[in-house]
Amino acid sequence: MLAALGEGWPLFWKHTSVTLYESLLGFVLAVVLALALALTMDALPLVRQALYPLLVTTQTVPIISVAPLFLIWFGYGLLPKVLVVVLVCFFPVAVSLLESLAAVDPELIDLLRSMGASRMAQLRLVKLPAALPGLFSGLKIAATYSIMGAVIGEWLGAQAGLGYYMTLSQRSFATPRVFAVIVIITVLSLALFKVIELAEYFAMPWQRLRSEE
Amino acid sequence: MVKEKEIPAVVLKEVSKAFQQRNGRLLPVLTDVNLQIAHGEFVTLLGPSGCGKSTLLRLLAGLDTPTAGEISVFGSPVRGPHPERGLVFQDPTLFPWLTVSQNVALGPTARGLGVRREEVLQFLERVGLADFASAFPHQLSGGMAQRAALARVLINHPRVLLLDEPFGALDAFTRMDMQNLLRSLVAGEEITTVLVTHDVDEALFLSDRIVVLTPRPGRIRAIMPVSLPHPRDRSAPAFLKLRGELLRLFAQAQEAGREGKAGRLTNAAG
Ligand SMILES: Nc1ncnc2c1ncn2[C@@H]1O[C@H](COP(=O)(O)OP(=O)(O)OP(=O)(O)O)[C@@H](O)[C@H]1O
Ligand SMILES: [Mg+2]
Repeated sequence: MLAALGEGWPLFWKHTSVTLYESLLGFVLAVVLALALALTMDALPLVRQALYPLLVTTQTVPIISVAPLFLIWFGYGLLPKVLVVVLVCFFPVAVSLLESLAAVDPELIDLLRSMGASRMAQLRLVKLPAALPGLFSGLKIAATYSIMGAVIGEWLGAQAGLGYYMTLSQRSFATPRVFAVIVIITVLSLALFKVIELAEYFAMPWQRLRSEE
Repeated sequence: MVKEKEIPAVVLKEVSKAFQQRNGRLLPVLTDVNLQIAHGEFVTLLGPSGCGKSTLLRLLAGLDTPTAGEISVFGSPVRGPHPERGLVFQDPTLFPWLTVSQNVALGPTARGLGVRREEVLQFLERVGLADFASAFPHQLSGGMAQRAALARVLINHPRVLLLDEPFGALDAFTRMDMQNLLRSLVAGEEITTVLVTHDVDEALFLSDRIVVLTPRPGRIRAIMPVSLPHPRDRSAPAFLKLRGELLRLFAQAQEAGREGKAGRLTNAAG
């Protein structure tokens, strides 16, 4: 397997970079969308009540069954893969942020209100920092899903990417290559997870200080 | 012209509060509370758990609105929260992601005002925390955290201080320390204070008047003036005599609450 990896390295790298690009693009889009939606839903209780059931319902639709539709609608290009990644990454981020925004200690908010803080100031000074740990656990889940999402998208139809290369290798019974691809997928997912963990470490210095004691 | 001092600092007129319960029924928590508090006066609310003391403070803070009646502070009706009415909870509620001095600067920061470092330090000094300016809250003891909470409210220059069992979670000695500190902070500062406590000695040590409330729905059962000179000696005979009297009033209020409930029950049955 290592031999396979070593021999075909330029080819591996080409497919890996395609998948990585799709994953990162989808991940970033999903995070932006999830932040926007969660903040809106938290600020407007009516919107929250209306959209929450919808949000959960979208998650019960199996990706495997909608992904082919993306293919029909959007062709074999980049878009359908990115959409699959957005679909799998969006939910954990949106839900974890929404839940942790709702779970912020009401006394902290009352305290800020009593000091004359506007809603924007409340969001900036309490809600967001208090919701960071929850947000990061959502981001970590999403990061590990993102590569898988792209690979699934590629399975269904692509001209490049790890998913495409894997199908290709399977068809030609190149088992070591299949394993090599699996290893790359795992390593990439882990690496993304670690990147998020690192960001978490720097984003919450107060947590870091506590655990050092 | 009416001098400002002649207007009472706080006026509660026929204030009642009921909460909507999950089953749709109303839960009366406070009924017909009438109270006037003078400028710079220190008033303590004493009453059994659940009688609406915290609710009353939240109404004064403007975090909640009364179901009936009117609350005014310095002659104008309370319409919402305002930094001139500062709130301290039993829990220090420091923000774990901010340093002690950032926590103290919270009010001005929240209102989008700049705050000078020296000013923050000056307030930290007043509560004896100057050496902990750059510490994080989890590095403080309970008493120190509550000191920081006091500095954080005082930096807003409140004219009314609303304290909800601020020392309730501290050990007896720390609590006495904090009572002395509080006394030194509000005396001579023209700050009107409303304190909620379960501690009879604390009430007697600090207050000009003690308001005894009945069990829920809370109503004022008795008001006891405390005219002992400061600093008060917790073991002086005069202090102990008032203590006995206060405990008696408290027991009577409990009793009255029970009778009130029994009365209502028979009415409902009849
Ligand atoms: N937001 C709310 N919604 C419904 N009920 C409430 C609400 N806030 C308080 N209550 C109820 O009002 C009653 C009085 O509460 P409050 O916290 O004012 O009591 P308290 O006198 O401060 O009690 P304690 O001494 O235990 O702190 C309680 O029965 C409580 O359950
Ligand atoms: Mg209370």
